[in-house]
Amino acid sequence: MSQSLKPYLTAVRSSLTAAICLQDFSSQLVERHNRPEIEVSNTHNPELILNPMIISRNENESILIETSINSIRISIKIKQADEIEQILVHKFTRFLTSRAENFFILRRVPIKGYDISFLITNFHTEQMLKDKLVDFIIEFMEDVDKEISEMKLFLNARARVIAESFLIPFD
Amino acid sequence: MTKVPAVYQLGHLPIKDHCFSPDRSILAITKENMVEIYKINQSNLSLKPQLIATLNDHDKTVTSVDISPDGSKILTCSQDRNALVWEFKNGEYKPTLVLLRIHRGATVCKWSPDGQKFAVGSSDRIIAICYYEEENDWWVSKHLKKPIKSTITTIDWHPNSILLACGSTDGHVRVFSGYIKGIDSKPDPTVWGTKLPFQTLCGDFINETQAWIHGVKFSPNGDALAWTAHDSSIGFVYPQGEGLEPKSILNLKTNYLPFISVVWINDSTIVVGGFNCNLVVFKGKESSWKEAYQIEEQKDLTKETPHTNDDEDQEISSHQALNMFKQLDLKGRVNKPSQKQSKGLKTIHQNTINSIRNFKNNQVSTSGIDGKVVIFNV
Amino acid sequence: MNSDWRKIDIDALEPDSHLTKEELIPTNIPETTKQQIIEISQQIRSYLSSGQFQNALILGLDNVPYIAEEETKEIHSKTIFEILCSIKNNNSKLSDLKNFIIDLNDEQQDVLIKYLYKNMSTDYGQKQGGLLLQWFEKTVEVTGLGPIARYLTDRRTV
Repeated sequence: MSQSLKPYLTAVRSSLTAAICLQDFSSQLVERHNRPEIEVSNTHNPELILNPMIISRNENESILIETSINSIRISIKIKQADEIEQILVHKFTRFLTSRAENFFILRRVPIKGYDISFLITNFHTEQMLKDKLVDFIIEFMEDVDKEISEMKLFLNARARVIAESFLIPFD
Repeated sequence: MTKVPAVYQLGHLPIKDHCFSPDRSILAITKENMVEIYKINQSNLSLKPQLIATLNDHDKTVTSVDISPDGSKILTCSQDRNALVWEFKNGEYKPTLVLLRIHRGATVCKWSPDGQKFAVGSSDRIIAICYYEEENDWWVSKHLKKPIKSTITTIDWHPNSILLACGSTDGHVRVFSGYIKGIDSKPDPTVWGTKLPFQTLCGDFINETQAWIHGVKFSPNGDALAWTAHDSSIGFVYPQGEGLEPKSILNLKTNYLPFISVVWINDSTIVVGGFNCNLVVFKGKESSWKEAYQIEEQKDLTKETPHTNDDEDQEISSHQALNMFKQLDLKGRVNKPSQKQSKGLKTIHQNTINSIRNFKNNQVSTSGIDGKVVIFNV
Repeated sequence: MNSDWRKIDIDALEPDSHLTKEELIPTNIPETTKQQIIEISQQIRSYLSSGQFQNALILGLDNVPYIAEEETKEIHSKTIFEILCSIKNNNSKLSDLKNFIIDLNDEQQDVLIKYLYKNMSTDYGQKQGGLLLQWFEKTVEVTGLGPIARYLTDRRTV
């Protein structure tokens, strides 16, 4: 793990631990409904939304945590140094989001300006242990970096092999 | 004597609230749309309770349950906007309707200490004070409304059965008079006020952060009020009479995760618990309050430790799902991930503690969303 | 008469409305003017140049413009950022940061966390992400999770 990744993940871990304190909360506005308050346009009950947190490692990598009384939205900006990485991140997140139902907490559409978003509601924290949810997000952030650089290497290696085999006739 | 006389694992669904009957023979817990009634073995608490009845007339999540001080009636309320009073007649529990007249979910309900009335808090920014009307054989209500601006999360009765404290998501702790003419006898003056017509606001307190209030509780002698809020702090107020500034208002900031529930053991000791899954004891008086000790040893929640599911949970956790996809992506085959050895939290409760109640002297009972009811010695 | 019943905002007809964003802003705190904040920032700079880091930090964290114009808040947040950078640049060891934090009182520690989050959301703060994260890590080591919970819930934003 690189030097500056550790404090970043530590900060994300403690922020998430404090933020994922959710409770069952039925809507104040709509009768007999129970909806994630963070996803509702909150002109009617701003008191249920807490201050958003942004934790950033640098300009290209940051995480936005928005909390409400019964739900929390976590949006991650993944490092993209060049065009290849941009394409890879796009493909990778698309692959995940199109299978969102298998990930329980994945949001189908990321928040603007971020690459991938999670939505955790009180029903998730009731079914799963909180520290495991936090572990998952942290692990995801660790892995995604690794994954992208691996894919990039893989892609380069493949390009080299192809180039080589193209050039064999001229050898 | 052990620290923990009883741990009841009652399924794995979240228990929002629990209540023991006054003679501690019956335990009522909420479970989704139902309330389950268990019989407790009083001579040996550690034996598993026996399910004797299920009350299922609510059609939304039941949020709160309370047993009347004489043990004869069970009060439940739910997000379906209703409250019901259950009585045991001819071998089964029969519900009586309560005319709440609220239009959003009910969040919390409590019997008054004399058992004559009860209060129901709601997301409709109303507290309904309910009392029995004999001629119609139902419970009618009067509303406490102003100046509540948000969902009521918690209520508690003063020992005199007149005053009612409530906490809400607008960050206010308020003390109202719930005096009902014809039901209550004229109350003696207290430190909270002397003249108490219905809906008198006897106190209105707020934390400087204006965080949501999760729990309020009067001290056993009724002269102080404690509350817990989402900013991880505990507040105390000691009033000294009508129209006067309180003797002291304290706001004790802690470095734990927010506490949900609070109970008094005696006039100088409280126990709080909530999102950090542990109970913490605080001691103090008017001048200052201090943390005494934690009931269970606990590791630092921010430290990384490998955790996996409890033994029974077979569902695939999300990061295992990720690995599964990786396998699928790279090798084109599905490997069911192997179950890793699990190690949960060190505390008995594996998830948030939702409610704490006094069990008997120096004992409290807790229930949490991990489906456990636990009795602790304090 | 409009017969499109579905479009009627029935909540507007309710006698007592819900809380609004404006009502959440605390009213019991005096407003801070730009002039005051500029004076404080000058004072802080003179502390910093004479090496009195702890004094600079305490002065900055004690005078928070909770109720002020956005621009004023911005200035103060930059001043705090300068203090943090200058302390870091003059103290190479990480354990030194910790001593600075331990010497703060509860209130000041809470405010410090607020400014760390605030600065991490700005452009200049993100360029120095590593530095802010080190401060953050050390602060949480000292204080635990309480200040983060209070950052989340506090309606007095910086």
